[in-house]
Amino acid sequence: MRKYAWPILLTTLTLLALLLVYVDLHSPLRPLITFAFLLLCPGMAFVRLLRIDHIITEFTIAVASSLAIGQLVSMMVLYLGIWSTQANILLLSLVCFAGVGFQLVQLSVMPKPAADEEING
Amino acid sequence: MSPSTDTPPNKLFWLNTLTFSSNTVQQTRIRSLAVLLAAALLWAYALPQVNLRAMADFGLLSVLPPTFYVALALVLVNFALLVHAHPELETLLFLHVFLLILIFHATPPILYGTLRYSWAWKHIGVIDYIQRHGAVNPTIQFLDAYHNWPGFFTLTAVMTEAAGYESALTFAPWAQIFFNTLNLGALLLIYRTFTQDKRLIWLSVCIFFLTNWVGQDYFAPQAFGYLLHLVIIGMSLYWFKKETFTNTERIRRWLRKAWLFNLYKSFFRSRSDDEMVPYQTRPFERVGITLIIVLLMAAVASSHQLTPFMTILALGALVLMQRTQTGSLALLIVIFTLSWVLFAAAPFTQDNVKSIIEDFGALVDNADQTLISLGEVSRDQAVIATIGRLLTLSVMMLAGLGGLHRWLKGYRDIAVILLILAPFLMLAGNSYGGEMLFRLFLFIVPFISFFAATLFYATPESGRGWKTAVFITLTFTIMAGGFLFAYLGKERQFYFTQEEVAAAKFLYETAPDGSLLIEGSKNYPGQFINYEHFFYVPLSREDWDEQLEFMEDPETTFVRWMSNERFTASYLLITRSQKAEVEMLGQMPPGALDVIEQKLEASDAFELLYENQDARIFILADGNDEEQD
Repeated sequence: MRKYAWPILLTTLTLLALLLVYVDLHSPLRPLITFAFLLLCPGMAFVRLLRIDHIITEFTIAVASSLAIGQLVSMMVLYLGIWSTQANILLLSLVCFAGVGFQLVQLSVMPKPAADEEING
Repeated sequence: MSPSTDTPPNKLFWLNTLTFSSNTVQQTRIRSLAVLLAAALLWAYALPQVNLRAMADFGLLSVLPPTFYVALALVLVNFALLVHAHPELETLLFLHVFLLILIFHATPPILYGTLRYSWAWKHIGVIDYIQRHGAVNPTIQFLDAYHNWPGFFTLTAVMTEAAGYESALTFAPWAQIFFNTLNLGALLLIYRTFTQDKRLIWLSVCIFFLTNWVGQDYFAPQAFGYLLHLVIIGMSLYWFKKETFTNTERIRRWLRKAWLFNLYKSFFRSRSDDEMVPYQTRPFERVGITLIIVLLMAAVASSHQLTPFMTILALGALVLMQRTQTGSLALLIVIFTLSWVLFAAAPFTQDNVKSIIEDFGALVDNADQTLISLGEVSRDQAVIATIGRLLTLSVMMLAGLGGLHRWLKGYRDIAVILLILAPFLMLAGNSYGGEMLFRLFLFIVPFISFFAATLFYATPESGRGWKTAVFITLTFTIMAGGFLFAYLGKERQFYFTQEEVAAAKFLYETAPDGSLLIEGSKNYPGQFINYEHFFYVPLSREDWDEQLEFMEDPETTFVRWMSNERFTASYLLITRSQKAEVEMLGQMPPGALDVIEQKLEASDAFELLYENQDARIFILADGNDEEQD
């Protein structure tokens, strides 16, 4: 179950961000959730596929990638003349869901751990 | 990495205990965490004691209490000891550097409560424009560069609106902490490709944060581009490192002489002994890493004017000298950059092509424009500028000695040398608005920090004695002192009070479209709301003779300017921070803005529209009917 922690976390953050932005809920948690989504989710959705063994490196590349993806999507929305926060968040959510989908596929084809590793967590 | 054992324990037992050498790992962890906690508490205790109104010409240094410096000293001394004795405790080392980042970069936003640097306020203005219009205007009269490279601003506009904030001002003051923390991660990635010696890696990181004083880490496209640049370089070196040189036969034939070829081989020996072994990527990983780098490059090319060229030079050097296998990626960023410059940013390029061509090749001029003339600034600012230059020269000297030391030990850090030299080619390109030397230093400081660190840890076996820890501590002390002066010494002009922000907000929200805004200087929280609706005239940028003229008789000059029917209304704004800047940098005759203020107040032709402790807004007496709230 632990191996699904990241897909679950990324999906949850994405859905929460979508809800907050589309319903325009004003909650004290909104900045925290939306920033976590924008700064982490789009990049980590794909960086997890690379299985980087150094956690600081993984997070750095994930955040940098999230910033880059967020910027490119926002510029595309701007230059297409359809600027809106909802459009931006929706497109980034689709990116995240795609990445999470790939993660699930990767996890499903990964060899199962040995029985004693499962017992020891 | 084992602790030093080259001294008799009974003679220097106290020193070994002090320097962790004889402590167990668990004791070291506990002690380090206690030191970190003590430092954090001292820093938190220091901040409420600061009286910002008492800030003098040495900026924040003139008002920070001793406990601030004690907190800083604790972090640096403990870090020096820890990296020397237990470099394997990387989490603790990370916490030290993170606390260092907080002390340096969280102190101003916590104290001020407002956004630092006038340029950052202009960036808020561009985001405000995008939020209101949902578009950019590449032919806009003011701040056109940002409309032609809008990536950073579109991203932060999304962040602002998604979070439900009215303005990016809510989170912009914390940008330095955000970018520096991520830069830490990027530096670790890069340094791990140069060496596997953790002492050298972490010492390089700390030296970087003690010497990167140029202040390009604030809420700006440069900080954003710089982060992406470091990650691109790190990923290229980590995943696409070349193990052996190819085409040696071609080079052997070209060089002809055997001794020349042997010299070439000895110089460009494939890698230093302690460099990371090239990572063996699987095809799937290779594709994924490549795609990420491509995305980062596209983001850099569309968000900042200078950074993509620095990335091109760095990657180009690494590819040409066969340190990485990212030839196609280097070509791709050239295509991205040129495409953006020639097509997406065509309006800006067309307007500025003449100055670009004139600057090209003028190395000395491009460098010279960066350096302020010390004879023109105030005495204290001359001291600050001198300390900044000394810090730069010192770290470069340490880097030179360290690099030479390492070379003589048989290490060939070719990638590091290339990454230091490549950005210098930009001096031939442009002065970048008189800032090229600062930006050059920014792009080489990660790599000169590495060489500076090799002075202490040239090889995995060297620097094991307690004296190395002492020398590192002394070096840190000098570097930290220089950094504090260079980075926090100009805060009298970079700090904006709540009163100044209130005055600027009143002005921008009150002035009708098409108004003329006469500013004492550009140094105030300006252009952050509705900025495109106004015309701006900063008095500090007028010719010296004209400044003397309107100092002598401001009434005549400003009545003429402000009566111009071209403008719907006219305002004249003078603030505390404007006065600080013109005085510190010698931009206007001494006391100029005070004199103008006093004469306008005494004049019947002018009326004081708005006034608080730190700002005044004047209008013509028979002009604007707006009342101050």
